[in-house]
Amino acid sequence: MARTLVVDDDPHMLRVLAMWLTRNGHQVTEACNGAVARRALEDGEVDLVISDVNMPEMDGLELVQWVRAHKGTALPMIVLSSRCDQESIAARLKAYGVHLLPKPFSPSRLVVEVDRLLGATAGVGDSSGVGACQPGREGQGG
Amino acid sequence: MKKFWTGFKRFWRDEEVPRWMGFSLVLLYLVGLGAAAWTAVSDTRERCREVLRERLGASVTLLGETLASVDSPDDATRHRILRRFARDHDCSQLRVVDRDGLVLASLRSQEIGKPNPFDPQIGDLFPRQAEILTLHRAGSARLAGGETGTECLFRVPVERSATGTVTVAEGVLSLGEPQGISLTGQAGPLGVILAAAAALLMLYHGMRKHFRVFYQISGSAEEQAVDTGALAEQLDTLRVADTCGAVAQTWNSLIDLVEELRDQARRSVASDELCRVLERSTGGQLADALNALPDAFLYITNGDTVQYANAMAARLLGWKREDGATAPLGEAGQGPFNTCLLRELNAARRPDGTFEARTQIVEVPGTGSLADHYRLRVLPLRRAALGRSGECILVASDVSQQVRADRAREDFVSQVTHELRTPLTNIRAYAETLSSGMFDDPSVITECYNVITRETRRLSRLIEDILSISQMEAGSIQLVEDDVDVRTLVSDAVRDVRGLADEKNIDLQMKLPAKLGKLHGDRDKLAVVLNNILGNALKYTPSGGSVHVGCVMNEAELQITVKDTGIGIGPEDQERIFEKFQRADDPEVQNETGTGIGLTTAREIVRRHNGDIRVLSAKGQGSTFVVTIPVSADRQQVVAVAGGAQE
Repeated sequence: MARTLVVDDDPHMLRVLAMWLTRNGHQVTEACNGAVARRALEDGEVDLVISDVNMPEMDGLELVQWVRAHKGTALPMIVLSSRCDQESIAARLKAYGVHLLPKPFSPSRLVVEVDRLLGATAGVGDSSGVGACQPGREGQGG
Repeated sequence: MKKFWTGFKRFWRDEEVPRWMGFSLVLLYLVGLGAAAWTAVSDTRERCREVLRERLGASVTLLGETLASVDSPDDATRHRILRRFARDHDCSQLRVVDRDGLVLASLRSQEIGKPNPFDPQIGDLFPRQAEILTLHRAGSARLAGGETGTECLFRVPVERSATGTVTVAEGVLSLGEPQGISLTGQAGPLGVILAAAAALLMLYHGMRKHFRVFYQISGSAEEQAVDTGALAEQLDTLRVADTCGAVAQTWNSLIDLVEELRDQARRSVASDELCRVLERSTGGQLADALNALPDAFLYITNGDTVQYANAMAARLLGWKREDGATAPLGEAGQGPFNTCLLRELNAARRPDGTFEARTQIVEVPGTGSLADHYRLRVLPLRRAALGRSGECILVASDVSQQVRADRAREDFVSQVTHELRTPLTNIRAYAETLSSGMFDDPSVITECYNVITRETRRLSRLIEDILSISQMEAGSIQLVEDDVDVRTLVSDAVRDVRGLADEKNIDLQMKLPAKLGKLHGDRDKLAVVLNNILGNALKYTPSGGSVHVGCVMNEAELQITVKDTGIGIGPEDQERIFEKFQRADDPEVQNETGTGIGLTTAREIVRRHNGDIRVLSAKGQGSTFVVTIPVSADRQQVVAVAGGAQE
């Protein structure tokens, strides 16, 4: 059973990722931003990290840097991004050995990618959220 | 002799005009003297001959009278008289001839009694008085043939009858040449003519040789056949071959000098002219115009020296007006603007010192209250092509607004892309969840449908906003007006955002008066206004806060108030938040996602309704947005006048 940490500030995205990964035998930990994810990584062992880029407090790229600095290069990571500067992000992530999956993406394809990275891990686990994430993506900016 | 000849040849070749002129004139003078002398001699000789002839005439007459006076003519007496006359006068022949042509007496005794041997055709055979004929040019066979001097034939009557002369004395004598003044024949004038011709020839030859240079010069000038301005440009064509001697070399070096002076003059004139124009203009209208420009205008000479700076340029350079005469840009202790200008000048400078046109937008850091982005244009002066390098005009225009707008637009595109992709990502993920068949729990299926519906609405609202903003940019936003029930309008708006408020645990309250009328306006667009303001309030109000919606309406206007307990807006951002693509420059705001068009759209719509939006806020103390819209349709006239396409 792979322990997978999913990081995104959009609760709907967290929810759907957790559904698919749990269904495919992952034990999913949810985090609503990089800072929360960092605490989760400090607290327990994780086999895989899936993270969004644009998040409050600590964004995905900072999280990647932190992981590589503190958890080594072995921990597989997938970054999801809806930003328009995908190419520059991909180039930066490549230096850390991290895969970029552009949004919108297919959940089934993500699962395939995850399995490939983990080397076909099987099993069924529970989903559990950590940290107090405030939902906050609705409404118009002014 | 050989030495003299060599010297003469050298003299002949000599190029000095004065010596040649002198030589030729002396020669001509000598020829003149010769001619005068010859004339004098011939004249004198002629007068002498005249005298001799007169004397001869008297002698001959005397001879005739002497012969006639002999009473009894006998040969001996006659012969004696003839002999004496012949002795006194150089007489070669002398005889007395009667009417029948028989010789009665003669110096030559063998002629006596015989016919006259002399050619009877010359002159009158029996003249009435003494007659002398010059035989010199008469062509007489006997007298011609190389004899010189003047020979004369004379005939004088000796005896006369009633019918005429019966006997004449006839003789041939030589008049002789006047002693000491003898010049031979025509050699004199011929010699003078030849000498004169030789002198003229020499003069012509010498002159021709010396003026050949000038022929060349005038020839090449005629070939060019151009006006003097162009001729001055083509001084080179006036050069002559150096083989023409010292004069040609001097002429050519003179042309060199003229060319050099011309270039110097050109440089000097061009420089003086420009300086004069600028000096004159600094006191005149041109200077006023340049100083009124919002752009900085600099006239650069010598590569980096500011010859003139208008008011804005002086301000940017940090100069006081009076010390703005001339100064190199690179002087120490000058500001960041100077550094930027110098960098641009260096970039535009060609290896030969002239400038090429260049336009660049540069960031000028640390200018304080001044703008931070300038478009610097280096414009080379056209007259610099005439040989003056290192001159140009430098114009710096403030483009900070433009740069900010460009960046805001780029940020907007980037933000919109992100905002569009977020709901799309959710829609796709949840749709695939549904279609995969892997999740058959009814609650999951319901959740999927709800998320898809919600994200679709979000997407469409976003698209509405983007459309509104582009319509506003194009100036084509149109109101579809109707009577709008205010209570329904506000209630629906609040209801739409209640879910979000609940999610964020924000106390959303609405307090409406018991009686509310109708408003003439565009229902959908006013709903967008309220949605944007409410959404904004909820977004920037932390969890546990509150948002209060109030409403006041009288006969004149409707006032809707949205008061929150959010992060608040600093005074510097209170106008900025309504600008296109702009969001408050605050980390707390930047943490939230947003496109920066919601409030812009809201205010634009309200203003189209002839109303306005005000914001009352302070940092950290919440914000109150007050929307004021006139109730009556007075604005229709205003809009009709302003827009024209309204009705």
